[in-house]
Amino acid sequence: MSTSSEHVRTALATLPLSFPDPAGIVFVDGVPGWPVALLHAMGSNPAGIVLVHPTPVDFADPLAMDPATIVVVDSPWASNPATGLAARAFRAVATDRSRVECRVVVEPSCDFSTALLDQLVLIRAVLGPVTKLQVQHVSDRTLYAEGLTDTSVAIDFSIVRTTATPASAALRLLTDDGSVELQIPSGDTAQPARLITVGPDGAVLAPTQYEAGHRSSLRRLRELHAAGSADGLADLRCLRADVVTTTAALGDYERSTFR
Amino acid sequence: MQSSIGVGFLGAGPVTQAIHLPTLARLGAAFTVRHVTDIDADVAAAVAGRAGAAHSTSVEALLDDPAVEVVAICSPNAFHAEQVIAACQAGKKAVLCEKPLAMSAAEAAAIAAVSAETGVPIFVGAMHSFDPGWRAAVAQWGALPRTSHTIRSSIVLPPNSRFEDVATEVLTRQPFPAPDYSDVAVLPGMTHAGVMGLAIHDLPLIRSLLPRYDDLRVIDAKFLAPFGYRILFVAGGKSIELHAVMSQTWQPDWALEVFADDQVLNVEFAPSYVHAGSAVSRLSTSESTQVFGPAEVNGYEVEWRELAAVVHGELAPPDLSTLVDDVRFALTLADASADAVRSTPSAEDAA
Repeated sequence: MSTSSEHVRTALATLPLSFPDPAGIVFVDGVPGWPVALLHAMGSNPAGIVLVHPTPVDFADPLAMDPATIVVVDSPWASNPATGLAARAFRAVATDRSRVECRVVVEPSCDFSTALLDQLVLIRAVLGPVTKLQVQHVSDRTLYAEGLTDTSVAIDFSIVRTTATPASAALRLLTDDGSVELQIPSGDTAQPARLITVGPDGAVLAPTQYEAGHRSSLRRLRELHAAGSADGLADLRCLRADVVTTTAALGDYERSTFR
Repeated sequence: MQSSIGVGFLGAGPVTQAIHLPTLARLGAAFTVRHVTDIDADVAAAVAGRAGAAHSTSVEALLDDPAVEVVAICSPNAFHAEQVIAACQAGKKAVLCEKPLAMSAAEAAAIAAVSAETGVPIFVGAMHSFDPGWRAAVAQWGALPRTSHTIRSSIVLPPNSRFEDVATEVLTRQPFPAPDYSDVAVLPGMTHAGVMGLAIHDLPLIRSLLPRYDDLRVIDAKFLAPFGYRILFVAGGKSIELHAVMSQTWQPDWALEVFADDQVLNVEFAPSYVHAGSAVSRLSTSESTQVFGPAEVNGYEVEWRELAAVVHGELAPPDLSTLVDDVRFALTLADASADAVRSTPSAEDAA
C-alpha cells in the first residue's frame, strides 16, 4: 500500500458524519494494474470509490461500467481544496497569450510519467485540459515539457527530483501587470496551499484552508453522492484523456531520442 | 589613512547615476569621482556636477586625466571591450567594467591579452557574484557544485525606471525602441540581448556550478513578450532553465535555485538598481534549512570595496581567466539561444 493510500484511508476518520458507514467506501491504490482492481471494486456495488494517485496506464473497461458508481480520483495536487479558488483566479486572467509555469518537486522514487500525469490533472482542475503536450528533455532527475490547454494557454512543465525539500507543486501565471501564483504542499498533510494574486493595487493571499487534499477528495465524493450524481465516472473520463496525453508525449519523446 | 581613489566613469546613464554614484557615496572617502564622460555633453556635465568632478565627451579625455586612477565602464555593451583595453593601455590602477565584459570571443581574448601585458586588474560588475548572501551560501554548500543536477534562474522585473527613480533622480533615459517584429532578426536579437543583459547577472553563478560548458546544448529557447525569454539547456551534465519576464508588475521576483539529490539552494535577489542589502539564501536538506542574509551590504558595495583593496595591494586581483570564461559561457549560450529562436518556425510559417 502506498503512503498516499494510507493517508486517504485515515482521512476517512475525519468525516464521521459524512461517512457513518466507512466500509462502504472502497479505496483503489493507483499502482500499475489499478484498472483491474478498479473493475473489481466497481463490481462490488460500493457507495463510492476513491482511486488514489493513479499511475498513467491506459484503461477502457471501467468506463463501460454503471455510471451510477461514483469514482473520485485523488490526485496529489488537484485534490487540494485551494484548486477551486485557484481555478477562478487563473481563469479570470488567462488568455491565449498566457504562459503558465507548472513546476513540481518530487521524491526520487516518483516516476516521471506519474508526476507528469499529476501535473496534467492539476492543470485541468485549474485551467482546463491539456490537449497538446511535448516532452522537451528528460534526465535522471529532471523533466521539462511544454503543453497547450484547450483554450490555448501555454504551459511550461518541469519536474525535479530531490529529497532535500518536501514534494510540492507551484503554478504561476504572469500577467501584463501582475501574477497569479499557487503553491501546493504535499497532499499528505493539512498544510495549506497559498494562492496569491498580484495586481496593480497589491497582492492578495486567498484564505488558507487547512484541509488535506485527501479529505477534500472524500468530501467531494460525499457531495457527489448526496447530489445523486448521474455521471459518477466523470473523473475517470478526464483521467483517461490525461493518461492518453501523457503516455503519447512520453512515447513520442522516447522514439525521438532513439532515432 | 589611505588616499581616496580617483574614479572616472565612461557613460553617465542610469547605471552610473542610480547604482554607482550612490554606492560610492556610501563608501565615503574611499573613492572620489574625478571625471565623467558621456556622449551627451549636458548629461556628462550634470552628472559630473553632482560629484564635483570634471566632465568630457571623449574617452581619451578621461583616460588622459591623471586624477582618474580607476575607470568604471558603464557605456553600452558594444563599447565595453575597446574601452577596457584602452583603460588598461592607459596604465590605470584598475578597471571596473559593467557586465558583460565583452560581446565576442575575440574581444574577450583581446582583453585577456592586454590585461596580461599591462597587469591592470579588471573587475566585472557582476554584483550577484559579490553578494554577501550568495557568498555565504557558497561557503557552506559543500559538494553542491558536484552533486547539483538542476538549476533554475527566474527573473520577473518591473520596468527599470521604477527602481532607478528610488535610487536616485535620473537625468535622462534612452527610450526603449519599439521592435519591428516583422523583421525575422528581431526576436533572435532580443533573445541574445536578454541573455547578455539580464541572464548575465546569474550566469557566472551558474557557471561556477558546471564542471564544463563546452558541451552546452540549447534544448529550447523562446522570446517572451514584451521582453523576456525561456531557455532550456544542458551543460556539464546538468539541466538548466533560464526564465525572465519584464512587465508592468510592481512586484519583482528574482530567484536562483539549485537542486541536488539531497540539497537545495534557493537564492532571492533584490532587483538591480536598488540598494536593499544582500540576497537571502536558503540551503536546505531534508533535515534543516540554513538561511544566509539579508546583510546590509549589497553586491555593488562589495565589488567596490574589493576593488579598493586590490588598488591598495591588500587583495589579489580577480582571476581574469575566470572572467573571460564567464563571458565566453554567456556568449556561447546567447548565440545558441538566438540560433534556436531563429530556427523556430513562426506561427504563420507553421500554419
